[in-house]
Amino acid sequence: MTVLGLAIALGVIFAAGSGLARLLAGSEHAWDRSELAGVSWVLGTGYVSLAIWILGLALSSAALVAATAFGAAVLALRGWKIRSASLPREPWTKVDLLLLTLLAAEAVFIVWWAPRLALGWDGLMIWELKARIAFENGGALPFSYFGDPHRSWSHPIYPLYFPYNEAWLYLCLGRVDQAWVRLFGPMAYGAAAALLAGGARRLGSSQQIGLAAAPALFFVPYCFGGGWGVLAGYADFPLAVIFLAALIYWPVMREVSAGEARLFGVAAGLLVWGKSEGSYLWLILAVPAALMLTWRNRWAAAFWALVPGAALLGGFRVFLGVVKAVPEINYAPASGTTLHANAARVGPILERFGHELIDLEKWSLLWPGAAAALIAMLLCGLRRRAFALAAALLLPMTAYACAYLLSTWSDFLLHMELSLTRLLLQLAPAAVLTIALAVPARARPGASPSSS
Amino acid sequence: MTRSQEWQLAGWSLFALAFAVAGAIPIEAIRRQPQVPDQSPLNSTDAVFLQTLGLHDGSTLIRELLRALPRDRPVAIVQRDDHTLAPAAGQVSVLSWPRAAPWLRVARAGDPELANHISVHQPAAAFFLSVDPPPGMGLATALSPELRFVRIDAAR
Repeated sequence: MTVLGLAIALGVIFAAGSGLARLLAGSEHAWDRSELAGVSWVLGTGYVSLAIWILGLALSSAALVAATAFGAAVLALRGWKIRSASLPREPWTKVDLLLLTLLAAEAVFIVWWAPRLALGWDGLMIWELKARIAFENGGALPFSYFGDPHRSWSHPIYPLYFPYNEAWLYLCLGRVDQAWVRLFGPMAYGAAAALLAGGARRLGSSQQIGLAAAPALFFVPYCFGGGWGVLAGYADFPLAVIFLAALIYWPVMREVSAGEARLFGVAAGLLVWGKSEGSYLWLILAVPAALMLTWRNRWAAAFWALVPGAALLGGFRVFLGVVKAVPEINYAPASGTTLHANAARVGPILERFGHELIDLEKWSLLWPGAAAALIAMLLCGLRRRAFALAAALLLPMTAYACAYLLSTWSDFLLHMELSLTRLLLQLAPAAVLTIALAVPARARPGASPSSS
Repeated sequence: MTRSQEWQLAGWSLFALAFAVAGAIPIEAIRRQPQVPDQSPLNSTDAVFLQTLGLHDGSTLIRELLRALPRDRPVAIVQRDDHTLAPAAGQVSVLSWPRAAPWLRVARAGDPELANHISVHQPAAAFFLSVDPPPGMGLATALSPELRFVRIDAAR
């Protein structure tokens, strides 16, 4: 039964995701296999969680599973009818095979280690808690949960991407199972590796550089050594994977096709569904994209860049109002008075940020490497790409730093200590991609066709 | 590939090596991460109870106790004001769903009015984490050295 449940859960995710990816991209988009695998995970998990949220208002248990699976089947069949080419594979070299071996070794370690780890604080208290309550209610959270004053510590206003994916697994298994729910960590890591490999090719690099980028996250100590890392059941790394997927198709970084604009819009839109700070990430990517596309008179593409995220953000806000969710307590509303009163925090916040970015024990050379990569791109004349990636990394960091100006904690530095590392984890895969894109690629037969 | 690009490639290769060495797998940090006692369905919850309260198979035990309680009456969670106990208290709250679970924190010096603060919520039972139940509340069952359970008479 467990094997069948897992097969259904993962099968529906990938079927829906790959179908949706092909539908959005259209027949002109030639897929790299790794790229498609990573995008399928992102879109598929988005589909499943949204299906549970919306269909869960009327359906529950077996009916909810059946309806979600039916929708996935429809998406898969429609998507597979679209005949799109695949990017030609470059001939394998010894270095490629070595890198694949490294990836396989990482996979072996993760499969061996992940089942031994307990879910972390947020993993249990914020995300899996919701999944458990949702499962016991037939799949979706009952309205009473959102307004429960005794469980407001579990942040009922947080978006539901992660807990509803966990609830989906529980529905398919027919039980709550904290052992199997940790599967999402390794799957998200696999999606990140696939997106790094495929995304590097999509953005003009070589297969070899993509294969070198894919296992790189393993050498960022915090990913597997940190208490809030990839395998601890937190939503930060899944959000990082969504951010990476959106970044690959970001119209600000390069000229994109109509299909890529649609992929961008939907992936970016899922950011607001991943975590509360996903709204900042969405604004940072979607607004400049929409403005640029509008400036170039690409109205349909601009529509796609903005509307999915806006609709999801607005819809969820309305939903929280309807269910009378208990409001957020960690941050004060942004006002001139609050910012002025907390202006003295700026220095300590910047100092703490600086220490974090050069902390080798947590990040290795990731952030200095990303900075060096941006400088290298500028020196090589890749100015548009350099400025875009710099914005994609620095603007979220700025937003996160500013958020601590509004922290309601009496000890805001403690608040930073307990959350900053996780916030930066959301940008880690994008930083790896930045480094990969700075490496000059040897031209080989079958190299990627990506535009500048 | 131009000579400049070859130098860049060499530089980035050295960087990759430095990156891998600087980020060498933090064996000790990985070993220090909390681990589960087994692969049971609520193993992470059990890990929290074991680590925080010294309670083995806590989720099964607590669910058995809750099964005997009415679903329409709250279950109070009384915790010594110590953040290390919060995960366990939180898990008791989750296991108590769909009952209301008022969560009271007691200062280390104690609270002479604790019984009144609990009875305001009219709970069917109360879990005490590193706190002694107030006298007269009912017979306390010690589930572990740090966890006591008191079933509260509806007439109170």
